[in-house]
Order: sequence, then structure tokens, then C-alpha cells
Amino acid sequence: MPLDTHSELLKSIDINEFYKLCITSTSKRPDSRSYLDCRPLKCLPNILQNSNGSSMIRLGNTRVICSIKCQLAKPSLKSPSCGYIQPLVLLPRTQAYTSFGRRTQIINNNAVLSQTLLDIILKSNMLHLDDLCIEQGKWVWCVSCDLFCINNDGNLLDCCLLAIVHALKQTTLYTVKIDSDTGKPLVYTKEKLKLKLYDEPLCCTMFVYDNELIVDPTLNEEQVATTLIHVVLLKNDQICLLNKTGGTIFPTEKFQQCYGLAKQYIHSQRQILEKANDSKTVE
Amino acid sequence: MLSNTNCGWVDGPEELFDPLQFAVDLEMTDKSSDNGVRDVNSLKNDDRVFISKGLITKANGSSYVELGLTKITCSIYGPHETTTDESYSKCLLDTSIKFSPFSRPKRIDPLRITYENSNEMDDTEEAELCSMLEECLLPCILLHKYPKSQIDIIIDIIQEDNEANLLSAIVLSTTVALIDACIELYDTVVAKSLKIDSNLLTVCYMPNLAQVSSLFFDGELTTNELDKYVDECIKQCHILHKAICKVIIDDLKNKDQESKQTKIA
Amino acid sequence: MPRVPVASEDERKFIVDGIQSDFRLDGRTSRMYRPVLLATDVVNTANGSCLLKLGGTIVMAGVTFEFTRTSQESPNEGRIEATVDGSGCHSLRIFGRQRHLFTKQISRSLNYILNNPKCFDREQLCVVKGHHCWLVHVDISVLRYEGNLYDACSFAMKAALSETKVPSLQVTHDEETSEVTVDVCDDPFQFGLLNVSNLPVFISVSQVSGIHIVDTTLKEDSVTLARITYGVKDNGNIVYMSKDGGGSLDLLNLRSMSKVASDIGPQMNSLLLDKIHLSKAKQPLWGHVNENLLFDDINFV
Repeated sequence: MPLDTHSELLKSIDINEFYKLCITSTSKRPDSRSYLDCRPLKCLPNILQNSNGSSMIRLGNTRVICSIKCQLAKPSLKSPSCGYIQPLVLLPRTQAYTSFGRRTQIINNNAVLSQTLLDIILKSNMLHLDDLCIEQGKWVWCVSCDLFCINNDGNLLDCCLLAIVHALKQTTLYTVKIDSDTGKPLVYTKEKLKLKLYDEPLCCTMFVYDNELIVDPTLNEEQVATTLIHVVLLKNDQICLLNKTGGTIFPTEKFQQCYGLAKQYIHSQRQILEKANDSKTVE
Repeated sequence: MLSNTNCGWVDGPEELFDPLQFAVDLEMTDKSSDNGVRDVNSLKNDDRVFISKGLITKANGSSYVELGLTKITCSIYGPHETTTDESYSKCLLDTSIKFSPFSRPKRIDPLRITYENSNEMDDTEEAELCSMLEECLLPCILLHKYPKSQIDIIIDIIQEDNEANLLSAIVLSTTVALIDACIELYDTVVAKSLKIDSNLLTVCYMPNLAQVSSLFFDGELTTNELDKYVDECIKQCHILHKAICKVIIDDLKNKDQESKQTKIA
Repeated sequence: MPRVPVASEDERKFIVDGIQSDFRLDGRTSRMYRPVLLATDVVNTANGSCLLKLGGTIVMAGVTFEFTRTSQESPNEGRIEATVDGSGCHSLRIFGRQRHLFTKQISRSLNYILNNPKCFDREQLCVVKGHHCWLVHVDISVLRYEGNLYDACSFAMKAALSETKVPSLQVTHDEETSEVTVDVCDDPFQFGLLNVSNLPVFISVSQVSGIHIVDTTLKEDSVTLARITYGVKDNGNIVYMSKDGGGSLDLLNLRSMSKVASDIGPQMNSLLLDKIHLSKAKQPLWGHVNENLLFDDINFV
């Protein structure tokens, strides 16, 4: 990390002071974005050869790879006609080595993010678990979504959700028939079916600094932010999840503003995602 | 162990079966048909190299390397104060290599990916790769310049294409990351593996010093044949070396221009 | 590799000068091994065993058999694995994780040559194709270390495996039910032998200031820059190669080192074979009567 300039030095010593100075002097963020700008977003589909569907999302310096792997499993007794979906986030191992973040904290963060993603997937009805059933009580699909963060520079939830949605869109399942005699599944690798998606929840993360709403925080901004707000919207702009983490007191009218911002932000995300789907790769 | 028990946070089935073990129309040897990826890269390019550096912002140095279809990230943390008391006069290397869950056709259980500092005493392929990498790096780093300190090398294998490419890509990414971390080196070390029939030869080579830093061979050859193989590997190492040089020089030029621009501003 | 700190710069110079004038600390020339002494079949409980002394380095190898199912990938092959254990050996000089890494490295190298189809035929370990096979454990423990553990372990492994008594089995195949039953023979004197004629030995060649020497002792290790361990078959072919020591080598040295290894490899192979034959002849003479016999050099060949 270069410490040549005064601002670099200040950044490594007192991040709060640095941020305050930057905002008050230029009314812009340290990376010269205005409050409502988000970082450039890049989506790459199908980057892995060993998965049923995969994607890479790049939001500024944050990079997430999502791999969807479908495996066969026996359903649980509680819900014999439901498949499984298991999102699992792995934060970069580098983070455990640097002074930022301890190991246990990273493992907890993994768990929190994974659980949030699972909640969003299940509650938004983007994917019906019944569709993953091959034969009731015997065989179902287990869809494992491994989210591998190459680099964490803030706003992981947005990236992870984008990556999951993007990868699930590419995902194909093999056709499976059950042998009526032996009860064993017969997998036809040539015949493939697209996984059906019913909705596309996307997330917008913003934070409050000095009573200002700022979208798309970087890792440093997540540290100085007094409160973080996650808004997950469905395709028809309905709210799927609204989460505000503690911090400052917040007038109710502000939520209207949050919703408006999220709508705008997610709309542009959706456009990029669709373009990426059409042309396979897009800048 | 905390890391292992806490990882299983999501409810799931007890046992998972790979669908391919029940496949009826088994034609998986023809890889081009099973996924869209091959269509994009089907130009028969096992030697296609892509190198970029500095993509992991929290690390002191980092790199991303694609060699054929093998994809690897490497990040360097350090030199920093050592936690062990094994050696004071020289720098310690701590390498940690992990396969990502989706690096191989069969999914690797992510519970195995821990966040421990050094690999535990396990007898895995990862441990073997680690020891090979350390052996290859020892002659190339100026270890005596960093006494009482330690350099952590963290490598994630995103995708593995074939056995022969793997160590080559790991060494390549580590070299680029070490340069990115501004750690003093005698030379850039590059590695190349050749796999002909059942013979696997890996040579780690330092082109400017014309020295071999490490080598590994498994198979059967006479000494004359072996010498030919080594020569062939070294020839390929020179090509890889050129690729590294190009990336580093381009990067330096960019930085130079940037600094000039900021001075003017 | 474990290194002892050499007392002074002068001592270092003394060792290096000796090597350069082809007269090493113990009077050997650069391509001479220390005397190899071995005794086979020294442990009653193992199917095959060997106690081997290479100068001051003493290792014990024991071979035991386990009956298992064949793996799906190779249905007509048995399995074999070697482990090197140095946990009880204080003279190894290194401790904790370092020691573990060192012995693990040797076991890995041994496993490479055991699993190389050109060195060891694993099909001879198969009992019933696609059903049952032997899992052979080769456990090597280090009793004393005075340099060159790689070579000592490979010698001991080859000697132990060549003396191993494979329990003979009666396989009955029921045609109607297609069931296979395996019974152990009652006669303890009925046994088979393994074919280990192709098994290589390790020859470690070290470079000390431009001179290539084999079979380094502890003190010589501390002035060694780089060492390559070759697996050499009796016809001089090289089947395995790995480097340790932390130094680098140029191409010319590399070439002459592999020449040295492929010259010495066949010699050591035939020496070992002779010793194994001699030891076989000597066995009935001393039997398993007196434990002290093990520590008397007269009982070795």
C-alpha cells in the first residue's frame, strides 16, 4: 500500500477523518463518484466449465464468481416433493491474513450472507422447489450455489445476488428418468432443460453518512457508514426485503426516498443483466 | 475446530450424488458438447496465457492467471512480523493453496476451505503443491533481506484444466504477485510441465540466471531422453517469461504515465 | 532437509575443501556410498521386514497386508502405500511441523515409485478382479538419522518387499450364485512372493561447490546447496526426480547429476540384490532367538 501522499497516509490512519475531509471539501466520494453513482458493473456468463451454470460479476473492484452445481439427493421427510437450494458464500481468504477482519468474523460473515441469500431466494419465489423434484420421496435435485469472492471491496450482497440470478439464468439440468424396476435414476446428459426462474430479485445497498443517502458503498465506506440499508426489489418493483442495520435514527419519509433510489438503481442493473444475457459478454 | 463446525449453516441433504454416475448416454469424454464454455475457447489453445495483477485490493500484491483453461488467483500478504520462532535470520514462506468448490468436475466440499493461517498437517494434494511451490521459490527470493518476517502466499484455484498446467500456472501467478508486492527477487521464476504419454516432467526455471530452481519427474526415461525433455520445458519457459515481462513492463509504463499526469494536475 | 549448524566458517571450508580434493570427512570419494548393512525378516509380526543401516542412518521397514475391496477406478489392481515415520527419532534434528513435512515428503516420493506401473506391478496384489485386493502398508520408521534418509528408506523398502511373504488364499468361485468366497490357507509355510525386480532405488546427488557427491552425511548436508533425488531402475533408467535443499542449479550440472545417478543406480541395485540373497542364507543361522543379535553388526550382511 503506497503511503506517499498525505491523503493515503490519512486513509490508513484515520479512515473517518479522511472520509469527512473528502466529503466536505469536494462533496464527492474519494473515488470521485457523486452520492448516487454506482461503480461500473460487468457481467460475464458461463465462465466455468465444470458447473451447470456460472457467472462472474464485477462491480468496481468487487468480484464474485457464482457456480451452480446440481446434484442428486434424497428429499427430506418433512417435504418429500421439495428440492434443495444451498447458497454458500466464501469470502476471500486474503481477508483472514490482513489485519482487517478476524477468521471467526469472516466465517460468521459467510454464514450471515448465505442465510440472507437463502431467505431472498425462498421468499421471492424466484425458484419453485417443487420444480426440482424428480420423483416424490425418492430423488430430488440439490442446487448448490457456491459464491466465491475473489475480491471484497464492499457491497457484497448486491454482487452475490446479481451473480446468483445471472448464473441461475444459465443453469441447465439433465433430464432424469427413474428406472421403474430398480428405482435408480437414469440421467440423460444430452437432453437438457433450462431451470425455470419465476422472478429476479435484485438488491440495492445504500448507507447514510451525514444524513445523506449514498448508494453502492465500497469496503471503506462500509466502515465509516453509520447505517446500512438493503432493499431487495422484485421484477414488478415490489419490495422483497428491506433491512436497516441499527445506527442512526431515521425519519419514515426517508424510506420513500430509499425506495425511489433502489428502483432507479435496480432498473439500470436489470438492463445490464439483460444485455449480458443477450450478447453473452458485455462491457 | 470452530471453522469446521460453523460452516454448515445451511440445511441440506445428508448425501449428494453426482448425476454423471447415473448417466445413461455417457459421452463425457467429448468435452466440447457438455458446456458452452468450450465453444468460446475451442481454438485448441492450451498455451493461451492471460495475466493481470493487482485485482485483490486488500493484499500487498496479487495476480490472476489463466493458462489454457486453468484459472488461478494469487495474493501475497507481507512481509510482516512472523508468529513462529522457527527462523530469525531469514524470511519464512507460508504458502496456502486451496481448490475452490467448483474447480473440478466433482464438487469439492467447501467445508474443507478453512481460513487457517498455515495448512494443517494434512496429506492432501494441496499440501504437496505447497511444498513444491516453496521449493521452487526459495532460490529466487532474497530471503535474507527480510529477517524476522514472513511472507504469506495465498493461492485459490478457481478452475483446473489439466494436471500438467496446474503447477505451471501456480508458479506463474506467484511470480507476478511477488513482483506486484515489490518483494525483492533474483529473477522471475517460471514453470512448465510436459506430459507425454505417462511421463510428467515439471521444470521451474529462472531465465535470466539460466538456473533451474526446482524440478519434478514421474514416469520412465533414459538420461538422454530426460535431457531432451528438460530442454523442451526450458524452451517453453522462455515463452512464458516473455509473457510475464510484457505484462510487467506495460504495467510500469502505465504507472509512469499516471504519475506524470498527476504531477501536471 | 535437516541441517546441523556447522561450528565455524573454517569447518565449513574444511568440509568443502575435502570434497573438492575427493577425500571426504570419512575418507570416501565423491561417488562412494557408506557401507550398507541389512538384515531381513527381523520382525515376527510383519509379513516382511528389513532393518537397514546406511552408515549411521538406521531405518526399519515393515510390510503388512490388509484385505480390502478394489477401487472403482482400477478394478484389477491392488493398493500399496508407504509411510515414513520419524516421530521417535531425536537425531532427526528438526521438530514439529518441519519434521512432519520432511518425512511426508519422503513418503510421497516412495508412493510415486510404488504407484508407477513401470516400477511396480500392482496387479499382483489383486485377489479377485473387481472384488478383492490386498492393501499393502509399508511402514518405515527412522531409528537414527545421519543423513541421506531418502536412499536408506528406498533400500529398506525394496529389501523388505522382496522378502515379503504374501499370505496364500483359496478363492472359490460359485458358478450358480456367482458368489466369490476367499479363505486363508491353513498352512503357514505356504506363501507367495512379490515381484519387485523393477522397483527403483533412490540415489540422491548433492552439489557442493560444483562437485557432485552421493550419500551425504549430516555435516555435508549443511554445506549442500541443492540436492536432487533420482529414482533409478536397475537398467539405469530414471523414473522419479525431485529437488530439495533450496538452491538452484544450471543446466550443465543438472545433466552431469543425472549421469551420476544413472551410473550409480544399477550398481546400488545389484549390491542390494546381493545383500538380500546373502541375508536370506543367513536367516536360518540366527533365527529370532536373541534380541541383542539385532544390534550386533555380525548379524548383518
